[in-house]
Amino acid sequence: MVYTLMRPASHFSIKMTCFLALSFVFQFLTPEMALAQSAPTISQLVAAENRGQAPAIGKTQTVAKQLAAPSRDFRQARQVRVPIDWAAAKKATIAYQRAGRMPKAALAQSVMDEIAMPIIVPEKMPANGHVFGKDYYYHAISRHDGYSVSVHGTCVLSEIRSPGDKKAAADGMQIFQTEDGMAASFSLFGAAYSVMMVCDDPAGDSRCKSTAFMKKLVDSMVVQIGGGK
Amino acid sequence: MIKPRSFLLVLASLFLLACESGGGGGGPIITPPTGSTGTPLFFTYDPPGDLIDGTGRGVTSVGVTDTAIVAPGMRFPIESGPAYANSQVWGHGGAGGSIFGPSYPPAPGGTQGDAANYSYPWKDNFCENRGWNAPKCPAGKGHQGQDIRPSTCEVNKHWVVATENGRIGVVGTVSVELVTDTGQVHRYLHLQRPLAPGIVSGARVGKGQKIGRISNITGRKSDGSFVRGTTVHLHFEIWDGNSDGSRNYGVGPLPLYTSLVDSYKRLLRSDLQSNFKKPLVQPCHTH
Ligand SMILES: [Zn+2]
Repeated sequence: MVYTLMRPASHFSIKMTCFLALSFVFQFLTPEMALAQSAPTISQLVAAENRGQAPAIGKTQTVAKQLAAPSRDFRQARQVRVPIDWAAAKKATIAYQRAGRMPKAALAQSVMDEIAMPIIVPEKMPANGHVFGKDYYYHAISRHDGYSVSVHGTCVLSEIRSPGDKKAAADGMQIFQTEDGMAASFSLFGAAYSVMMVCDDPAGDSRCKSTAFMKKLVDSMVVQIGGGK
Repeated sequence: MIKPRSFLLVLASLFLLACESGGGGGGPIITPPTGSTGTPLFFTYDPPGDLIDGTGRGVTSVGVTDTAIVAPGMRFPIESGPAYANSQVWGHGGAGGSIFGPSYPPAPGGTQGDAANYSYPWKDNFCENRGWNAPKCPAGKGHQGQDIRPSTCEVNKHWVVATENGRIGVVGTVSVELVTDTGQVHRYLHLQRPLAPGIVSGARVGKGQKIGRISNITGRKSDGSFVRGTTVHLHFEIWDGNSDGSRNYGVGPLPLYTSLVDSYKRLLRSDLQSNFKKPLVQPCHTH
């Protein structure tokens, strides 16, 4: 062993060795410790991917989710399946796990295995919550004090054009009021998501008009990898 | 084959079924359908994105004109026709521009039971002016769904049904989510409580299954009583992932007028085939 070969050291050399050893260890530990203290929030992850415009959808695959009776007046929206950035999703999942942030109510493995996309759910997912879906989409619902939350994720996008698209892109994560609460709309890891806060008393509950509350709600969520990834 | 007699019944049933609310005081006044009011015999609709003049955000008249159907093959959300997709705020009995400022046009006055509210053509009101964001609207703000009046303005009478096979998501005070097996979220608003039996979070439903009855509920106070802050109508939304062909805009409320027109045509066709016999004029009770 190395230790047995060392000669007895002076106080100074012991101090120096300790200092150097600590410095050496510290430079490796710092990033790990930072990771352990805080994982990036969902809105930080979205902002990093967005960079002022909505992310490109990459190499897509056209899907026919459903065969409809042909309409003579209108065309059917093209639906494409977008590729998932599994590496980024895995990195985020590990960061949440290292930070000790996991969904409090375990998601059923059978459900996780069916969903072939990264799952975003509330960290404090109550036991009364449900997660369901299949292959290209999932939906998570949970009940909270005075409101319910649903998260919807999909990797199939409908193609529909609007002059509003550019505006939506500039905002990255869109947080907005709905008829009965608040919603956030964003893309992450290549997939598309919404978080909806559905209020019991939309007019009387001030949280139901608060962008700050909604952002906090989104950032209280964590990422889990589904689809056996 | 369609018998001539049943065809006439359908045509007749597509006539206006008009009623006057009477402000809840004098009881219903029933206006018999007449051809002279200009009500078309056949279903007609204005194009997608063609809002009532000046009712779009920024006093525009244009919503989303893309004709793409985002929910192909869905069942029309109201159990049976006729139904009338049009504006509530700028229809008879609506508040009109007064709630948004002087530059917006006023509503035409009258009550929600006015004959014009229960007549074709349909009118798109996705992106109609609202203060809240609607990412797909030209101004980035606007109405996030389509308003549809059932055949009469009676509360708690007309059923809405599942547009697809799927599962019930969040059941709120005002809204009910249907998560379709095609991966979309369809939101039904202003339904009467209680909902149809078995409609609870997580429940599986089949296409066409009853969800609840159309009402005018907009909230619930802490004492448990309902706020009835709107006209009798279904506000319907479709949320899905969307792109412009090259970029991913996340999951949001999508233009749905063409999907509704398409599904309504199929409903009328199937009604025609099933020879639906309905009373031409029904009483109207609004509270
Ligand atoms: Zn509405």
